[in-house]
Amino acid sequence: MQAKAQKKLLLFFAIFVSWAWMATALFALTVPDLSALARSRYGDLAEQTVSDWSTLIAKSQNLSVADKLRAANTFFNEQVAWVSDYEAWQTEDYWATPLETMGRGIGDCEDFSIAKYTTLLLMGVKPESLRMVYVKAKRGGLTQAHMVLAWYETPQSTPLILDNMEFSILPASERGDLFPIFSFNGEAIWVGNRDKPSSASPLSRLSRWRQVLERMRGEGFALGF
Amino acid sequence: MSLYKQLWIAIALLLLVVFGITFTINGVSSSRYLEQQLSLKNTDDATALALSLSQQELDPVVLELQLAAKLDQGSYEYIEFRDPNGKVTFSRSSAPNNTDTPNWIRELFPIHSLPGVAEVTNGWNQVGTITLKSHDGFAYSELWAGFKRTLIALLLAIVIAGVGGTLLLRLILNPLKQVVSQAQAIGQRRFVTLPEPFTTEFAEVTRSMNELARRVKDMLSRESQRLARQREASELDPNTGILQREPFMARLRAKLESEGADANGSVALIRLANLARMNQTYGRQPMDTVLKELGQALRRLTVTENEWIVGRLNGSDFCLIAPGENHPKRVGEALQRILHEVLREHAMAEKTTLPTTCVEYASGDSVGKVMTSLDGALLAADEQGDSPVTIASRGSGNPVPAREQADMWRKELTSALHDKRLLIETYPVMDNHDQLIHDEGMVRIRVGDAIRSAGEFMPWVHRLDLGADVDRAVIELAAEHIARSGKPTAANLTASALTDPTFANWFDEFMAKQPDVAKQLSIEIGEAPAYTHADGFRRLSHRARALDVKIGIEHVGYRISDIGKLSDLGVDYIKIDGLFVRGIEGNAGNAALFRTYANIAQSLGLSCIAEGVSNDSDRTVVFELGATGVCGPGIKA
Repeated sequence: MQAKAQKKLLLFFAIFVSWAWMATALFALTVPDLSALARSRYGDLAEQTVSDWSTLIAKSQNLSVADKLRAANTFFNEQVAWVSDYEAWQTEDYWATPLETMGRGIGDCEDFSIAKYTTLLLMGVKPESLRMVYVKAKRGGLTQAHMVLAWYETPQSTPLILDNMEFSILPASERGDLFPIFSFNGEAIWVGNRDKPSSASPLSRLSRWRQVLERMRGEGFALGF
Repeated sequence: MSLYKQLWIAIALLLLVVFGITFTINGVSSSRYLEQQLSLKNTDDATALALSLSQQELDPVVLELQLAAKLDQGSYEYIEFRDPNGKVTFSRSSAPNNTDTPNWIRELFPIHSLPGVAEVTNGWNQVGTITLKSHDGFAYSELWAGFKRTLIALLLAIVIAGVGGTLLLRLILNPLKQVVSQAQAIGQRRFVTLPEPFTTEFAEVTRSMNELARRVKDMLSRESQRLARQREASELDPNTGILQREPFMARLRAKLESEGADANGSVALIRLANLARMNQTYGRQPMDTVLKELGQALRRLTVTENEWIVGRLNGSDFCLIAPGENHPKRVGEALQRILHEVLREHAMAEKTTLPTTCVEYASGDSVGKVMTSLDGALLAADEQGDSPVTIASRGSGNPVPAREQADMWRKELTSALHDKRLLIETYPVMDNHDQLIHDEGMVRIRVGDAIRSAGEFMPWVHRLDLGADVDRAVIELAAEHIARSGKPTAANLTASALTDPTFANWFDEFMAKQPDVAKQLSIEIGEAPAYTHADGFRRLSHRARALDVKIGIEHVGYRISDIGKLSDLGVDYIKIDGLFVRGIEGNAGNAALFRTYANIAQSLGLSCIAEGVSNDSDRTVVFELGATGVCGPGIKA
């Protein structure tokens, strides 16, 4: 009945419908060809990193989940140097896209988590098993806000933690230094609805997470949400 | 449909379209905006709730209590909680908050807000997923309020556009009204000239119509001048510029046969005695100058008294007809004074005497009788060798004093009007093919078995100012005649029909009641009152048009200098006086005059009817000259 009512509004709704259609067409899970973009933005070195990254994803399609986790974790922990957001972007808190992270070779904890999360999705890891977790990290008597990526084999199981400060992937139970505060994943934001707002929707620019998703879409990433 | 109405409809349609578009755009953008705001609120609320729940040690009861509290305190449509396996463990909804939003707004502009979803965790453990959605009632109320605001704005716009549009339309249509009225006037044969309006298109139309009116006026003034020259050549005395004997006598006879107010009056005759001797004394040249000045003085008199007629009967005799004037001596004295003054200016007053005589004439008198009595009296006066003003005897006993006559006629006329003893005798007006144009009704008074003709009492009607009453009676009689016979009928009206302020309204009311009769009715006014009271005539003509009554001018032909007025009086027909018709075959001047009038009538689209046609030869000639109808003693139905 709602669809019927929409049709009544001729032109205006036709435009909205076509936008919605164009938006859904982007939601195919593909590895984007980012090399050209990386080179034009960040130069030859960045192009090399991105092309390595693409190869990694292509090669890891048939690996086990544990190997995929390890591959992604290792790739970013080795390729990207940790800096604070302020040093990297001259702003208090900036969430970078994987391309930005790889292009510049630097990033903070969110940038690591986002890049790993995206890479795992592209490798074929189920989105509902991944969470990004805000944690309180205690290291050497110092407490700091931090973000890690968690992989749940089942919803009830203890997750494996992908962290840029601790290179090996450990179960949460062995990470006494981390205290989880809140977690989210890309999927949860859109759960329960099939009419995903279009990229033109101002809604998609509101949170940092959505901003970064939006930028990724602009760079050519097509994630399943 | 009038232009005015069409423009109004255009404005209304335009505003409706604007409203429709405004409403649609408003509705679509508002519903989009509200949808986004609601979705955002849902997401933020879900995240806030999830964040707060994630910081607590949760047992199912505490969880449920917190979710229920959130639901009860907020305005949520539902709150759902699923465990990590997707099983719903809490689901509550609250009744929609009632709003007065009509359903069609919901159907036209649906608001699909997205539910907010957020994860609740406890340490590393997933506890579940919160899904919540706010009520959209307030959003619809907002939409409905917006619709009402737009509607009020539209109504305001209609009022403003209405007021502005009315003023603008009035401004635009004013000149159009003028153009239309001019076109209508031309359709009614009133060739009026109007100032050109501001609007270019209207100005062009007005210019063309003005040009037409100007050409008609030019034509009339040319014809009028030509007629005046002709009359000068054929009828006027070359020395004095006043009428010669023959045409003067013809006019006198017309007065004596008249059925109008001019059917009685006075005639005065004056003799410039010793003219022959003065010619010898002063020489012919100076005497011609004197005679010329005499003529000019006399013509000035006929300008101030425009019903009066002067003529030079022979070398030394001058005659003056003063219709409607029943103090003959006054007329005689006026005539004598004019001549005396001219002579005195030339220091000739002492060399001659100015014997004068005068007589009153009445309907039924013959020219011979009037002139014989004047001639006899003048001879007697001349023999006295002095300049007396005598009253000629009419030969039939003592004349009744004027005041007694007036009393008698007042009584007679009043009772005749009261007793409805007025009647009309009708005479047919026929066209070229012997078809009736209309019956012309002549008013009569029945006295016992006898019938008095109009010529006897119309002068008294005029003097006693009973014209309007008689006119009303005549219209009523004509209406009866139409109702009885079914024939078109013409009613002769007096000058009062043009001057009496109550007559026009009465006529309006009377004719409006019987439109079928009105269609058959014609009214006609004499030439002299029609030209003299031209404004009154235009007013009456305007009303007659509205009632579908025809209007004409009768006894036309005397006032050729006023022909130009024919262009804007709004006349349907003219009737040329019998004076110019009788014996027309042998009178080139009258034939030329008739032809001119017939041509003018044709150019203006009027009918031209010949009066006083008494025989077949007159009838044939006037039709050849362009008459469209004839009437008179020689014309039978």
